[in-house]
Amino acid sequence: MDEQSIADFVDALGEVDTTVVKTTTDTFEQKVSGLLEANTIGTPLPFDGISLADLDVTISPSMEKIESATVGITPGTLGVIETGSITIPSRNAGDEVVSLYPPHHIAVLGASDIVSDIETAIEILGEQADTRPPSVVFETGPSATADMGEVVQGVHGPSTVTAVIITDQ
Amino acid sequence: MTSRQQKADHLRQLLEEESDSVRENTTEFNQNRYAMLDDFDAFEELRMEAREIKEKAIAQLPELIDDVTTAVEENGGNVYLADDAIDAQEYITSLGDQEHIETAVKSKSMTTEEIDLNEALNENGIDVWETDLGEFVIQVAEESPSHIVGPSIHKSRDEIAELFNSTFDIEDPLETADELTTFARNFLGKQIKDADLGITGANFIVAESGSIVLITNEGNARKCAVTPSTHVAVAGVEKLLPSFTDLTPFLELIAKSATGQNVSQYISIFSPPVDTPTLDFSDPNISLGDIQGEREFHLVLIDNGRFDLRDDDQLRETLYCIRCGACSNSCANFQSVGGHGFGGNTYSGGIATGWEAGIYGLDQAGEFNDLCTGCTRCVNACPVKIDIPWINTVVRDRRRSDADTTPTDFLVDGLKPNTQMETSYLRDAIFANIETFAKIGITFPRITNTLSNQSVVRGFLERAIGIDRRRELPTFANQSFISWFANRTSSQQTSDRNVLIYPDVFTNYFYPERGKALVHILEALGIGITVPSLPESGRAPLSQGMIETATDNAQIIAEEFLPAIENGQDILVIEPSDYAMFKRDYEKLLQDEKATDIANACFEAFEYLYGLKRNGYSFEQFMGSGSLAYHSHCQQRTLNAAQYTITLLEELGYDVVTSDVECCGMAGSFGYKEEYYDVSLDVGEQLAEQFEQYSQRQIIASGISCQEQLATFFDHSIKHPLEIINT
Repeated sequence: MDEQSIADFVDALGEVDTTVVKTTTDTFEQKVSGLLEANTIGTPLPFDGISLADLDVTISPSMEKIESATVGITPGTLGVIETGSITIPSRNAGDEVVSLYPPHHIAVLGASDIVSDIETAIEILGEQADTRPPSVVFETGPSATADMGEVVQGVHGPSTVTAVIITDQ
Repeated sequence: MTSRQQKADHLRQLLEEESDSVRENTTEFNQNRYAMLDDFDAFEELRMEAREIKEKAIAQLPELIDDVTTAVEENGGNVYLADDAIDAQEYITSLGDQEHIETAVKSKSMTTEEIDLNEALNENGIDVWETDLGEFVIQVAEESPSHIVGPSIHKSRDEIAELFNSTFDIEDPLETADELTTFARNFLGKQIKDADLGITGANFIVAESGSIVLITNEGNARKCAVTPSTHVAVAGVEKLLPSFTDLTPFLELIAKSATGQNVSQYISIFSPPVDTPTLDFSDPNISLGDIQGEREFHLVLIDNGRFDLRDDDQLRETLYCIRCGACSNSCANFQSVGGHGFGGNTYSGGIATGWEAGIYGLDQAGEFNDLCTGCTRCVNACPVKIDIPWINTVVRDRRRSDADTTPTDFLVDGLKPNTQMETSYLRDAIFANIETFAKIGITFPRITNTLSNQSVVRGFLERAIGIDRRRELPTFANQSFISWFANRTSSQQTSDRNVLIYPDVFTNYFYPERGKALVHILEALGIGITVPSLPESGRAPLSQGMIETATDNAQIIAEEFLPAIENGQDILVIEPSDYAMFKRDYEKLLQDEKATDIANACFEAFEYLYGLKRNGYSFEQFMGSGSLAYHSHCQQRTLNAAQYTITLLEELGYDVVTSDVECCGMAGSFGYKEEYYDVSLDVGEQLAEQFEQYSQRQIIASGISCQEQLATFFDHSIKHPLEIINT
């Protein structure tokens, strides 16, 4: 994806209260370690030259760690410019859980994962429908409610979200 | 059937206790929707796409059920098609027995409310916790939802705080939104971790892949679906869509229509049973990778009257509904009383009439369906283009046909209308036949006008047939508009450009000044005019749910209009509710191209004048000055016909501010009815409050109902814009 698309996506993320960190494959470890906290859980990242094993992240956490974790880091499979959304997979590794329970979620995606709109994202997911029907969550900013009279962020899901964009992948 | 007084009392109570919160929340949703759609050019195209997909899906429903069953079973899940509520309850409770389920956690699902699932689970010894915060509030309060998207919008934050503080053992009393949310999150988070069963609804179901879609903001649906090892999704059969890519228009439309959000915080699309490991918090040391538990998934599809709705040509559209609540939020009456007034057993808002009629029957729908006044403000809001006012008219018509006695029975058999239902139908017949009574009234205007305001007469009218004594009755003119025009020698019958002014019932018998002003203006422009004697347009009977009578009127009007149109005359309409009949409602009543021909030839008065100016006619003589506060008519606005009045007035030198409400609340006969008078006034108050700040301006309105309502609040008669420029 080109520079403009990355820039548009960054803007879109800002509109939905998602902070952004841009990095390259080489600087990934250095940039991301600054985002983590003592109690971070994660799921395996499918990017070449990058592994969470190099960082202080618990993969395959225990139930107790899931409850106490403050940060969860998972891949994002697609980034949608139109809405500022990131799709999170539902693998057996537990992306759904790791991106939902801790109060801060970090989604890692490559620049080439950025698409322009919902229609494109659905088309891509739809192509998988024949072989393995998709299971993803479009995450657009933190969890929120207005049921208590005004907008509150951080309800049953994270209260903050950071997108890490690997610009050379 | 509730008596009129009981209904009035119930609505008065809602106005006192719930109205403020309901109005605050619904108007915010509504304003946000307008703001979002202002910038969204693709809206109309997407609505058409969504509508086509739904039509196709409902037509293919049996195949889609087969497809989704195959797909879900291939994925490793189960599908059950439940005939009705009991059937669904039994399936889920026996599942509860088999799996030894003690606690269930739920995310929001109106369909589970419809089938009384919580009660059934409780009766079978299963505890249920609602995890959507709004649902949690009403669960604790033991109340029913007041809105299909925001179930607790009738409660203020203070009321919620008081509720939580008094129900739970809380040390530091909760006060702020943050505190309340934190409390609920922690309390419910614990329930979710301990639960054996997660129950969700489904906003959409993709038949080809067995995927369900959940549109949420809080994250609770995700948690309920993924944490326990068994997940049950309950959804009406109408949620099925054929293919995966069919999702796109709906994902684009639903949040924008519901709350004005671009998209909701979470769009979960999953094809269960998912690969995510199940969670068992009872063993803190077990890790995600070691969990062996198998996931179980059950899709419970609900019929419960939907297949009958599918067979119903007039009510089938109800099944296209995606439950966004836009029709509730854009409805002035709903903004006033909320779903506890404008709602039935489960569903609320304009579309609820279709749902409740289909699921529970006409009587149930009849309890609230007259709160739909046909103002049509919901029509442009519905993302799948359902004609919600028409559904309400059809149900009203069927209720009438179902009734044991008709008003004519009283006259024919000399029966005395006894029951409330009978006198209400008599009242409706009077409103439907307003023209007949107007003809009598105008014969003796002074006597009629005097009598109609006598308190004895008014008291009798209220007790006997439910016309509220507080509402001022319209005054008859001394001479009808038709008669005035017929006696006029100065009018040109034919010219290069010729119009037929439709003499609507109100202009004709009560307010000929509007008509006279238009005649003067057109004469000054050299336009040829005829004002034939024509029957009432059908609006009056249609608004009482008398489709056949309205159709009779439409056919007579068509016989008069079509030759005139062929002869080169344009049809001008002053009263917007009649204009809407010709432009919109006639399509439902007339066959072939007749309705289209009439619609194309009809113009609202200012629409026509605006056109004349654009076509080179000089309006120099009509230039003026002055500051105006203009309230356009609801149906006029739906047809995008208010802009002509505003623009032309401004071009003629007037300074115009406009109202920002959906409806004035009078709505023809609605504001006269004793059970709705207070609601009508509550709605009207919103408009009056807006105009109060413009007390220096002259208030004008296009619709007769709006003029009547505004006159009540401002204690002077309200002019039509035509009277302003006719100087």
